[in-house]
Amino acid sequence: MKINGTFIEDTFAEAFPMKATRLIITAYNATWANHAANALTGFATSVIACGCEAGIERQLKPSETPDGRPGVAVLLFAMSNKELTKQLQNRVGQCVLTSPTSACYSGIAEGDPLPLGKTLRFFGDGYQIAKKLGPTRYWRVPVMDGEFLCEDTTRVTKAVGGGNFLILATNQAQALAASERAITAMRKVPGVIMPFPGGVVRSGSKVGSKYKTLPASTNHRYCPTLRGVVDSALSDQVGAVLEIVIDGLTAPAIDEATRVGIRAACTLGSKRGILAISAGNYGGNLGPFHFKLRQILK
Amino acid sequence: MSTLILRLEAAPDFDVDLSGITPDALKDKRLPDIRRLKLRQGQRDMALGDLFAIDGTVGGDELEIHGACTRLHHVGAGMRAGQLRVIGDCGAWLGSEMRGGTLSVRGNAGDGVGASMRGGLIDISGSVGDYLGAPFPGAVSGMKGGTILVQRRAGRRVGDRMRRGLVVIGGDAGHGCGSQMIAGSIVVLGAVDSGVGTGMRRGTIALAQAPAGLGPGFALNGHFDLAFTQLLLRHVGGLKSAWRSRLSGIASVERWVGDAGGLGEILILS
Repeated sequence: MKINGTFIEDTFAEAFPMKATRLIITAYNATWANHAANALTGFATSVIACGCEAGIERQLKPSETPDGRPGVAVLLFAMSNKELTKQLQNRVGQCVLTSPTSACYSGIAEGDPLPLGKTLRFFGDGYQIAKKLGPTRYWRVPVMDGEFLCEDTTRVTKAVGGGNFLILATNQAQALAASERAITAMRKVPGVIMPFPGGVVRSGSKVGSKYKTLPASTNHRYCPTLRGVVDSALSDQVGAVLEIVIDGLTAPAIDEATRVGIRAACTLGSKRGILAISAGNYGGNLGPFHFKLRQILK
Repeated sequence: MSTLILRLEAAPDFDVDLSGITPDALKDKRLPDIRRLKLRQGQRDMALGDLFAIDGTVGGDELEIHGACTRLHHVGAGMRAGQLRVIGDCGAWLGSEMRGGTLSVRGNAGDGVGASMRGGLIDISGSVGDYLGAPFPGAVSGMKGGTILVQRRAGRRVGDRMRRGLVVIGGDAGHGCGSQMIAGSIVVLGAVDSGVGTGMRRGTIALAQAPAGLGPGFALNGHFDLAFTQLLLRHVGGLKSAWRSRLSGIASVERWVGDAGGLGEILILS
């Protein structure tokens, strides 16, 4: 299978079950909502060392937010409810509560509750105010610019983490250009995030290492500088590989993101150095979700 | 949805207690049993069928009372689920100790509406008497949850000793609105009489019109653009479309705090 001369390998991405939640962060204007959202989703590229994977899902118009101010929807993914709870408490407490004019709401209606304002309210030192409007409880925590308004709980949902595809290009510049096109298209898909810097990762990993303390190490078969040294998966023409990792609230959302991302990357085609699209997997033995590239692109 | 309908045959010249005549209580009863249900009338009992013509479908979640009058008290008291629609005026204690469901009245209601209510929604198209959302006799605190909407005027002591929940008055409110409030929220879109928030410990009273004056226990806290205000106004605007336009364009609030304990707040919407 080829798209614009770019070869689509007959392989699949292997993904794993995760727990996720969506938060809506609002502020006086979009700039400050994004400051808070960027801080919240910082250092959240991989659960391997960050505790969670997080990213901005989309910008929200004032008409789409609970308080009528500009906002940002962010998604957070973790391996367990316990870890997600811990990450929420730390990240919202340190990055959103601290950000001028911010407020934080749950962006998911269904699922088990996870504490949000329920724990952060104690920052109010007894001056916090509980408010229940309809079925939803909020906390008003006095801070130096007024109040931090935060919903009592958010909801956790089953999700999928680790969807991915690889862009195999002649050189770095071409791989980067294709990745940027892919990310631009994928950011329009609801319910997914690409948690790495700019949505792109260059250090694809394999499970384990020759060093016993490391849970993951470089995916040597896809490193062009190791071609000829190891059992390389790359042809002689490939000079750079970039990976796009996708976390989604549902498997169909990852399907859609994969589809639009690969199609956007392939618009450059083989003539402009995009030689092939592949995907990372572990032989299908570890993750229950398999995203078969050719099936998705049909 | 199947609806059971009670039609008042003639307005009684005595007071009747309609406690227990709720959609959830009647749901599993047969029509003859419903007709035989006892109502308190002074020191005597009378059958529901003696006062109302009963038709419609049993077994549903909806109940309608047509031709209600101010002699009917405790309408919807203790209701837990379903929908109760009342066409006509009601007496006192409408929806008192209610825990769930929706109670709507096309007309006015007397004193003590939603007294010690814990959940659900009461929606009244007309005006109500005194002590809306206040304690039921013998109770320590007023409403502990749920929402009460009054589209026109409310009498004295709205939300007296209220602990949780939301009360919205579309018109004016009488003397002592929010007196002795423990917590919860009251929104008044019309004018308020004197004594707003007297003795309140916590809680929020949001006023569309500035009161003539506040008690000596209140102090001006400042002018603020709070996210909570916008959240509250959007919530209230979502409850009644007619209120949405009245609340649009409100940006900041004048905030007063004080009275017993100093943590009660009065927001003057501007």
